[in-house]
Amino acid sequence: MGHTSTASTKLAFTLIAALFVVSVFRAATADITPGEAWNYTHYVLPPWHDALLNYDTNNHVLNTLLARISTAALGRKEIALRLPSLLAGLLYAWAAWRLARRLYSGWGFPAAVALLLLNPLVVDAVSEARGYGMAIGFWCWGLELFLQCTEELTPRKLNLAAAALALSVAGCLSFVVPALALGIAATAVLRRRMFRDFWLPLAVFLFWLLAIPLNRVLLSDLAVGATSLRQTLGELTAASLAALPLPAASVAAVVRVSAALLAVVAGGFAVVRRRTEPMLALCAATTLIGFGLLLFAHARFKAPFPREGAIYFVPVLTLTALALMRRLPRTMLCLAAGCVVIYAVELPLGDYREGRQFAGSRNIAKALRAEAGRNMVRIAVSPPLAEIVDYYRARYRQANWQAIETTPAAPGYDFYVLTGEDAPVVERLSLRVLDRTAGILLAAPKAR
Amino acid sequence: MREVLSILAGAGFTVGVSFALGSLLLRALRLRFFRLEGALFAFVAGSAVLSLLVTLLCLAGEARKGVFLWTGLAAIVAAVWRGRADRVRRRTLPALPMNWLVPCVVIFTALFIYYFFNALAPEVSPDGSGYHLGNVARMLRHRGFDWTFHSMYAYLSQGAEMLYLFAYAFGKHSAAAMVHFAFLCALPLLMVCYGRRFGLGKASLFAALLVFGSPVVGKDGVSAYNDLVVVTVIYAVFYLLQVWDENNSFNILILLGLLSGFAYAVKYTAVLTLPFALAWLKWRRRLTWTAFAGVLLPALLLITPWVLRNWIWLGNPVAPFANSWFPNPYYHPGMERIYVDTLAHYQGIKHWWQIPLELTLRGGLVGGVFNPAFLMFPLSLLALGNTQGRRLLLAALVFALPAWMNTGSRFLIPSAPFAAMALGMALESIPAALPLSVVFAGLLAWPPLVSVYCDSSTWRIGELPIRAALRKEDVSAYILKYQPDAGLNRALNLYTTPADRIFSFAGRPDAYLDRDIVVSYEGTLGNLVNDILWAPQAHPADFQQRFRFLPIDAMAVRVVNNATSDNFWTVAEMRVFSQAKEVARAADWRVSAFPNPWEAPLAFDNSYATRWSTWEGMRPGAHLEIDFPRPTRIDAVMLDCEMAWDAKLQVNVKLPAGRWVPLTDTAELEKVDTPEGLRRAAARDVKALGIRYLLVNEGDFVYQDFNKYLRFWGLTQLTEVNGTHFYRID
Repeated sequence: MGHTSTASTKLAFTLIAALFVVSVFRAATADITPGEAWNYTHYVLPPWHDALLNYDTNNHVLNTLLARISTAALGRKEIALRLPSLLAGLLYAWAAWRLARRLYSGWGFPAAVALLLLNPLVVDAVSEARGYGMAIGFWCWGLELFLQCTEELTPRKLNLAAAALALSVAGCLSFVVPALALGIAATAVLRRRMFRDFWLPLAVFLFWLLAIPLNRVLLSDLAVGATSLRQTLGELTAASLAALPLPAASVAAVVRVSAALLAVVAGGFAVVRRRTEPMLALCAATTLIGFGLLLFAHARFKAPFPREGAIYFVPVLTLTALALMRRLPRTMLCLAAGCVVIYAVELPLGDYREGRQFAGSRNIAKALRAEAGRNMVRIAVSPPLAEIVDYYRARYRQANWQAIETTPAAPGYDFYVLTGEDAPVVERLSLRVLDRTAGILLAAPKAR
Repeated sequence: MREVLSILAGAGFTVGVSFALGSLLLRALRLRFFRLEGALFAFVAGSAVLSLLVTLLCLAGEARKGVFLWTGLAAIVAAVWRGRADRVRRRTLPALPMNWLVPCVVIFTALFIYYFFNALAPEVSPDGSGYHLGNVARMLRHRGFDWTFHSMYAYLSQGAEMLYLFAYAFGKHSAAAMVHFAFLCALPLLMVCYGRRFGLGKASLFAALLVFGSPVVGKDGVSAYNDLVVVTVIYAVFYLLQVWDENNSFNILILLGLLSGFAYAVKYTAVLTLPFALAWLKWRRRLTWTAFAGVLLPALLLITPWVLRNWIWLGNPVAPFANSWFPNPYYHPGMERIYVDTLAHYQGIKHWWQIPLELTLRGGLVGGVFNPAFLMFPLSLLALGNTQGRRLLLAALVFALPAWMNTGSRFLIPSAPFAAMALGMALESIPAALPLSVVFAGLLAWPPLVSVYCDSSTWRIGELPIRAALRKEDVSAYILKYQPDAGLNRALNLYTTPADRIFSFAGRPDAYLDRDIVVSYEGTLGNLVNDILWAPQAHPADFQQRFRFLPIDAMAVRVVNNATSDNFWTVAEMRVFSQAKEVARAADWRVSAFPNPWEAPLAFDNSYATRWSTWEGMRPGAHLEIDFPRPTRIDAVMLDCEMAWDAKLQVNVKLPAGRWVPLTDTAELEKVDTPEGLRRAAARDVKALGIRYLLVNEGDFVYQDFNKYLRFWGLTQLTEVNGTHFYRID
């Protein structure tokens, strides 16, 4: 590893600082997304006992725990809810910095950092109140610690790697695949003391982090996700490279083939250079083992493939590619520049990708609050909006929003909060539209 | 506050006397332990001695407060007197690291305070206020065992109850619970001593925390149950075996035997302790006859009183079990089978993997949870690489065996210290795992947090009742909150005399009632009354089985079953006919049956409400028989009964020459109308059994019928308390 120029370091730092500022801004201003609202109303707001009665894959355990703490300390504002993700974003950025530093010096370093940070999925993950940000952050730290072990193997670092990977799985349960894959890869590369210093601590950490939250989990609760790996990669590609002016199907096909080629080529290199290129070995093996685990679980247990949880492919594949091109810094710079441009075009600065269809929900909630005043009101809500309205009821402490029911077609409610799809209800029930955003409208009976 | 002082004095006096007796015993045996270790062994061994003394007093009918007081004081004075002569300073065990000791002491202290106030609060646990202290209160009333009271729970060995009786005499219910609590506190200390002695310091701290911080152990330990006495004694036996392994002292064998016998005396399920100890001795060294006797004789000293009591009193040395081997008129083998089957099968569990989750995280279906850390038990296999680990795992396995017979999580408590210690050893070998587990296990042991993750119906400590414990709030109201049936006491005192017998379908908090209750499932009388009251709705005798044959002069006639089935064979009435006329029953007829000969007359009492039953699964040879005083001509036998389709019946007669001859196995079956007046007859028959009062819950099978046809039953409702209806048979 050569020296990194001051200018490139500053650029990387500026990039991280800018991303953090953007993330804070979004965390404070963006409307709540359905996923955040669901998690909040089902797992953060209720008493502990009620929150632990059920489990679904939307419950990102570590994020839920930290969000409970942050909302208890700072209130129910969006930024309080998103604070754990923001901090996890810093953790991820720090890991990305260190990993990029291991691979490149000069301008390659900020380029690598940018590739790891600017993927639209990652940009969302490091501030949206979900567990993805902390999951990728801790996973990258697990990788970093393994890499340190390749230089000097100490039990303590293996223990810390176990803790990091356990926290990553606690951040998002679908990270069990990359965590296991990385563990297996590290076992193959390091070959020493792994059982007692890594696998057993990993089991203990996972036990304490997940035993209580997953107490009542049913297998059917976990069987949610994509039906094929093609769908997983397709969605990942669509979200990451949406700015490319090409048909999405073509892009997805190219990415699928590229990912497969990357995995195979990197795997080959990994076997040959596992001593000299530990990063390549670990990342390539993780990719291959990860795909293998997913396919095996699907074939053997009919396990679905991940959807949003597949975000781990972003750092895994990016790092694999970066490690593979380590000896071709110019090529890497060119490719990275192109990729960063695509990312930058798509760079989300407003609402989160997941919540765009319901953008403006906070304004609708404010309008509803103004209209309802202190009266006890019954509100009919389109089913996809139920959790969002529930969140704002809690957020603005509107206990007078008495019954929020997801039966918008029926008459007799004081207010209707409807999605665009339910807009015909306005005409059918002769409602008066009070406020409207791109995806939501607030209406009330005319006679009111 | 005076009540609190009497509770603490009662419990403290019992613990003090135990300690004194134990000190005298250890001194007599010339056994030297380390300081804390010695105190704990003195307490446990002294408990065994005190229990034996109180048992003997109960047998002699001299179990009363004055005798307890003077005996106890004498023991304490003797121990102090002997202690003055013995000024040798004992050695202390190896110290624990402070960075481990301090946090663990903090956790233990927090839990101790929580537990202490729960133990001090009025006793409201189901079994504690039911039969454990119910028996104790009865014994104090009778100055010993009440030989006229028959309940399966009175037949169990009651070694721990003997200690409770001692404490109860001074401080009533809570004093008894506090004695149990003393064992709950002694156990973790004993575990830590073990760890310090055998080089498992950190693991033992973790294990002690795991056991002490298990919700089911905590709840059990603050109630007047006996599980913590059992587990402490078992652990002490295991501990002594390891010490004996080191020093091979013969006198330790005597202590071992005494404690092994005490384990049986406390609870039947601890019967494995003695064979375990003997097998251990055999395995470690050649077991000589002297050593064998050294263990066995002291053990028998503790076991024999209970075996003999039951053998002489009931005809069954291990009552209420093994009634098929030792038939007796006090407990039906069939009822035993139903009871044992009910306990041995998980209710509501669909998959095997639910069991560990229920035992550690949920608890609703197994009556309580252990600390969630026990879910990591598979990791304890790592301890197999160590001698201590192998021994602990073996003990964990052996003392978990009784749980096969009872699915309640309480029955795994004897195994828990060994499992926890092995797990501690395993976790100690995993970096960071042990301290992390101490933190989490301590956190998850905190009672308010337990409610967060376990089922709401799980048996656990739910509150910190400081005001109730200090008797600053109304004790009756507190008891009624948890044991609404305690409210019956006023009605019972108002309407009944101490001589009256009262029947109940469900168990009641005997410890708070001044009357003895005959419970439907606790003995033959209860079974019988239950059967009679159910007769009009559940099993009216609406079938007649008539066996016809050519007229024959018989000395005896017998209806024999030749089939095997799990169901009971029952007969409401057996009649014999000659020339189509019933042969009139005479006073000199002798009626008998096999099995259950004691209830044979019920098939000849002209009441369709009563019936003879095998009260066990049908088997070939079961029969009902009439012996005539002289040859009697008969040509038909008729059975009025609920149809037993599994039975294969045959009529045999005994000829004047003395030979039994089979006549027919073909019956004419006729469905007949339910006899009229069955309700009134049932009430009359119950009254004839000496029971004039009934306690019926609204969920009981007969309640709706009582409610609708009270006049037909001939009952008067005296009162209703918290959903329990109190009836008098007119």
